[in-house]
Amino acid sequence: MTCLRCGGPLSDDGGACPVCGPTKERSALEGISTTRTSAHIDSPEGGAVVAGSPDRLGVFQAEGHSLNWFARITTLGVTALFLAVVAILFLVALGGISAGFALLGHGLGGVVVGLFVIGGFGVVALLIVVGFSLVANEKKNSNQPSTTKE
Amino acid sequence: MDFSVKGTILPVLEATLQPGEVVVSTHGDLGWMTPNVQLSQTTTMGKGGNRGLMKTAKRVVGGGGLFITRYQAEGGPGSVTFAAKLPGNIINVQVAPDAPYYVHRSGFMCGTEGIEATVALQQKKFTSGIFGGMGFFLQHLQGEGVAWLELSGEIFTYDLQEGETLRVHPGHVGAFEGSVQFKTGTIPGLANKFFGGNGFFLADLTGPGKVWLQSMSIASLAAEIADYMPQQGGSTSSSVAGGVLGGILSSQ
Repeated sequence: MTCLRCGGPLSDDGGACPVCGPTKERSALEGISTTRTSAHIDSPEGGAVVAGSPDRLGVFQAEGHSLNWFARITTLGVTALFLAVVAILFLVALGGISAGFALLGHGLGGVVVGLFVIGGFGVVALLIVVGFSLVANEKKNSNQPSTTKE
Repeated sequence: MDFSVKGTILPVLEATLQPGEVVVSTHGDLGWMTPNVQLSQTTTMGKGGNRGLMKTAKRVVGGGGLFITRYQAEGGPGSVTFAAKLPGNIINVQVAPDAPYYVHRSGFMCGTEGIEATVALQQKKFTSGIFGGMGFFLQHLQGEGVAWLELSGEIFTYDLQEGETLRVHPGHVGAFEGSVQFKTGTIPGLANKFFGGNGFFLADLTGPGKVWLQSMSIASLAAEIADYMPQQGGSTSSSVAGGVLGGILSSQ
């Protein structure tokens, strides 16, 4: 690479021309030292700049700030949507299999359909239990000690 | 906390965190981490912990995503490693209130808590923004701290003097300091536009300030490998050896 002003080679570390010099002096931030491939940063007391801890949903709650309802509602909404899509896909698959049995089974299909419908409800119930388990698990994790808590 | 770039062609960035220390990331670059690193989501960026719907919306538009992932070491030192998505380089910049940076939409990999990513509209003309190859929006990094950027291919840095201008294909613009003026202009001459094969637009970067250019344009890479991707119906291009090999493999 060459300097656009004098045509001389640029330095490898920052692209500045050794003859013309850098366009401006870049003052390093206090407590931060960096090289091309590494950096060392001195953190404030406690480590985190913004003190707080995650709640049971995994949403970070900063200390001294109001609850982040937007993040929580969005998280719950997306989770509910995910579980609903899984349940619907499973029920559609069950419906297809049941229809196949009904067409081929000459009467036995009705029994099979009934069994699959019951099974479908069971899966929905299972998904609900899984959802609650996830929330409970998150609650358990969030109860672990946090160094940012006062 | 300590950061270290490791690897060559597809590098990773390893962050070593002391208890309580935090690193934030806007999108899924996580490679691996130690078990004591706790993840959480937030819509807040920046030192003050301020939040707002507009700030979040601006970050989303800029390519930063709705949620920010916080990686915090708990109970002891931990490490978290971020992997580059494309062959290229990972660099760091020190962001300060008087030294913001502009990065291409997916350029911000991670940073310290004080970094705030938002959107910047650099192009004056909407059409040039749309067709300019770099998108209408850039990520604007402000606040205070260290930000790590991933740029594609090799990186070439220029320290532009006051009034100096580089004309760059928009896809090759990686990042630049806030003091650099960015303007998208058209390639002069109809013949150059239609037969030059370089598109219609060039980005004018005017100093003073530092610019980081990337040798690999993501759009160009996508266009190059598109010929070798399976077409609808399972057929592939067989113009070169890679295409032939792809065709053989897809027919197995």
